[in-house]
Amino acid sequence: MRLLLVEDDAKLNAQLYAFLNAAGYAVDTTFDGEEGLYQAQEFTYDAAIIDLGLPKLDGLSLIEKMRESITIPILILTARDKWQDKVNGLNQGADDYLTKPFQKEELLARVKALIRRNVGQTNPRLSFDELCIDTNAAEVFINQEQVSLTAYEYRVLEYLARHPNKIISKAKLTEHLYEQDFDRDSNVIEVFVKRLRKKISPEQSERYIKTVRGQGYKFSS
Amino acid sequence: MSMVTLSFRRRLIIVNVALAFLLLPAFHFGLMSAFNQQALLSEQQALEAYSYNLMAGTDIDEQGLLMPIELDGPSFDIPESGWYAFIRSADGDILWSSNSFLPMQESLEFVSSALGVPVFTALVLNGDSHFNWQLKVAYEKEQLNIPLTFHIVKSKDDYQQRVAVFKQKLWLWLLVIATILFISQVFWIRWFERPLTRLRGEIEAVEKGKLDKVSQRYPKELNALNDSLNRLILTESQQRERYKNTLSDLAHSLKTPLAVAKNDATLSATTAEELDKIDAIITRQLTRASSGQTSWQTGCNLKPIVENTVQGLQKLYADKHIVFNVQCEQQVIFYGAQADAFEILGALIDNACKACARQVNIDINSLGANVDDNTYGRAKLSIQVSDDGDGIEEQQIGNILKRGYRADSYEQGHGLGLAVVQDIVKTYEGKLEVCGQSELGGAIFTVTI
Repeated sequence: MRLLLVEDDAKLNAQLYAFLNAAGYAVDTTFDGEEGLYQAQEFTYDAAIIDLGLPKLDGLSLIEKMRESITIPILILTARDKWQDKVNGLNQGADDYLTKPFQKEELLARVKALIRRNVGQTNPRLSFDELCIDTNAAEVFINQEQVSLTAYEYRVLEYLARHPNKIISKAKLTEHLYEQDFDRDSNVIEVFVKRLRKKISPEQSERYIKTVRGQGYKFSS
Repeated sequence: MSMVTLSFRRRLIIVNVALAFLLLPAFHFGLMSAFNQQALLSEQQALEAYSYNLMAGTDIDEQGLLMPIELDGPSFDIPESGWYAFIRSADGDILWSSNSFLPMQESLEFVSSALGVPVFTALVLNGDSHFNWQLKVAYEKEQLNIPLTFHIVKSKDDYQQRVAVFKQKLWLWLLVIATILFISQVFWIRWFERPLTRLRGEIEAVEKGKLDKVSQRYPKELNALNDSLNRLILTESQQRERYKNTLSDLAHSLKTPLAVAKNDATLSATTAEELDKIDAIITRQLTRASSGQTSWQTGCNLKPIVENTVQGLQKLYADKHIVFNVQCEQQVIFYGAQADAFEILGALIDNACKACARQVNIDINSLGANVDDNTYGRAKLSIQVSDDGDGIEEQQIGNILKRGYRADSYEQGHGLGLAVVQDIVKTYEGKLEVCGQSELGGAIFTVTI
């Protein structure tokens, strides 16, 4: 899952980057509204976290412009704790609102809930026959036994599982797994998928993740 | 000792009544004096003319006075007609009298006069008051000068009647004039008062929040007052806005570092707790400092505010699929800051959303103005928010409005929402009441403001 973080405070920006990254998200960080808009228009994200008091282009204007073409869930993270600001932000196009100071765990929970809601899933546990993915804890179980996955393997699995029965191209998968500056190599995706298949369905390779020749991968149970 | 301040209307009425009481009698006195003088002069001239006529017809020969058989005049030949003519000798004896004079027992009291000097006096004749015009002239006979005094006497009846008629007519006209003056003054006072009444209406409209300033359509004498008033309103509004923005900036600049500190991995539990307290204090004190009503505040309609709030909260609680039942008239004016209206509605509805199972009811009603309250004649409001949750136990109701107390088990917030609402409501001299069980089954929060 790839997130866009637009926060002008350098310390908080770095802190959130480290925290969200450690939680398994690819995070692109920007420090002003114009840069945030550029990133949002140029790249594909699963959710955006936006501060309201931003230089160059304020948060509300950024959200308004983003909403002209982008439908990803947006969480406002701001010091403005007045209900008037909250209501304005939500009605401008944001999907959730968190006021500073906040608990980073609460931020993570809300981001996860937004992403879930965006793909039409309300339960944080995704179950597909014997396969179960706990998106809150970032844990995977086969027949209730935990499977050990690397962070990238988990990201691939969660993204595919959140879009079941849809063909996801390697390029799209790459976009959602890596940050902007990451040196991308499509062979790496093939390696992750191969490893994943071995771990979640060792006896039947394409039990969950099927290869659609020339197009990408499709997750189905 | 406090001085009684009279209204403009009373001042004008007092001045006008006083003027009427002083001017009308003075007017009457002046006119009557002028009329009297003119009437007397007219009488004197008439008597004088008749006297010359009498003198022209009078002569003296060896036998004495030679008088014409008939005298030119109104009624000198009709007995007791009220017109009399006399000629007296130097000794004062009546040498001749007109036919209208009938001799009487008492003697006539004529005044003496110098030769050639006309005298106009009053004379009592037969007990009645008369005008007397006399002139002493000398007739020449055989180189002797014989002084004769000619008298023309006229009853005052005619004069007195004319004066009485004039007086009556004067009073009548003065009464008509006084009535016209009184009616015109009523209109004049109203015309004079109209700009003041309009100004008072506009000030009341500003107080009620229906206008944001007083208009300039007034006589120039009031323009200085209007300008000062508008400047006061504008300055107050700008100061309030500056104050709010400064507080908002302060909150922003404090809360971001607090967020960084709070999410520091090395932070101890005690420090985190203290940071939470600091955050709660900032939130509460800033809300208290920036909320509250003023007499110059423009009101805001609650209908769009509640609709926007519900729309926003529908997004926040999308997973709960809450049914919002909003009952609010098209125009329900809250005479306070829009931010405070959002704060009250936002906190109450958010609270209900957290507590509800599926349904939240919001009822907003205008209660009308109470003149006894310090509400600047503004209508009071009732805001009721109820839900179909589990409700609040009786023993928790007393604590629920205390700062930091949480009767719920929700994950977010500091338990400040209701305390903040309570603070805002208090600044508007309103009331927040909690009832543990609503018709829907959950709690019901009622704000009267």
